[in-house]
Amino acid sequence: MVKLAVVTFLAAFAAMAVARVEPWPFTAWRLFSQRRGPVSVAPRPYAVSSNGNETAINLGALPVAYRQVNRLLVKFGSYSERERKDLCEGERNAGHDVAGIRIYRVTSRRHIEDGEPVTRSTRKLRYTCPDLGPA
Amino acid sequence: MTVSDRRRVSDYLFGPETGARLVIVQAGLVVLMAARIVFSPFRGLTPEPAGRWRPVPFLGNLSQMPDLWVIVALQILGFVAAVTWFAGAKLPHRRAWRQGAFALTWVCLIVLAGFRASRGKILHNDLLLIWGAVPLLFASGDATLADRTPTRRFGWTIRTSIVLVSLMYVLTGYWKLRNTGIEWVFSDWSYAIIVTILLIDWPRVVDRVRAKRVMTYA
Repeated sequence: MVKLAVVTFLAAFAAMAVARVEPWPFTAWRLFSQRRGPVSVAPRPYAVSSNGNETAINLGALPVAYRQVNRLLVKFGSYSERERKDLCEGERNAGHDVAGIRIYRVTSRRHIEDGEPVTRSTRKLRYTCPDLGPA
Repeated sequence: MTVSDRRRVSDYLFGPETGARLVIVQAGLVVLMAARIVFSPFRGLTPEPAGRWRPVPFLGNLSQMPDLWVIVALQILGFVAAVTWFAGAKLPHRRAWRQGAFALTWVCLIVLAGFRASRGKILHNDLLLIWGAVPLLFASGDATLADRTPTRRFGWTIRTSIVLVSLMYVLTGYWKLRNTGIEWVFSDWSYAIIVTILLIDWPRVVDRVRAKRVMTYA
């Protein structure tokens, strides 16, 4: 009986992973499985101060509760307007003198120049909170 | 599959181990779980900014990250349970104390890890320990360091845990190969990683990768 239960569990554990069925704590174990090419696209929040200066938010330097928002921002387009506003407003509380937040879609292209890796980025505004007008 | 093949597979999963080994494996897992419960930055998860609560299935009834006191209470409970597991060796009804303490430590860890995972990101380093400890939840609590005769009763939880942890690594490799293909294994990037691990002429490897880099970061 125990043997049957163990073998069944292990088979189900593997089958769920291969089928990408991931109700936590089950997972497919896809960590670091994607290849990153020379072009990458990622959402990135910028803090806008009261005098209009814009600074990229260093997510890794924020308190624990504010980190990892980039995982949620990746799915930003699929959220309701209320969810987008909440997520954006939450970021405002992360620093002092933050009049607003602008979320950009940043496209980075890496290549080699004179033997050194070089990254060039372009960005496109996706969301602003509160409405700060054009960037 | 022949009878001997079946026997071999059965031995991998359910083979005999000594009670002493079971105690040592459980002690190691209890220490790891307690360390994770106490030292992980769980207290920093709250208060959580708006819009970030994405509860994992078993926390679906919660509408937000719990208050600080809940997290601290779970940390204290988990730590006390871990200490109780060690103290259980000298208590009457050792079997019940040890089984209960191990299970309670595990429950505290999975709930705390669940809080952390309820922010849209799966943290696999939490899950490796959580899943690795699952077979030991069913281990006999009456094993002692003096038990030196291998038996299947003590062995199956250890063997199953080893197989389960191995399976997690196999699945990680499976997804790597499935998403990147076999060519990644032979890329400059993999070469650099392997050589770095072996500590062979690292400066030369850096030069080689920089010169020939084809942007196969992974």
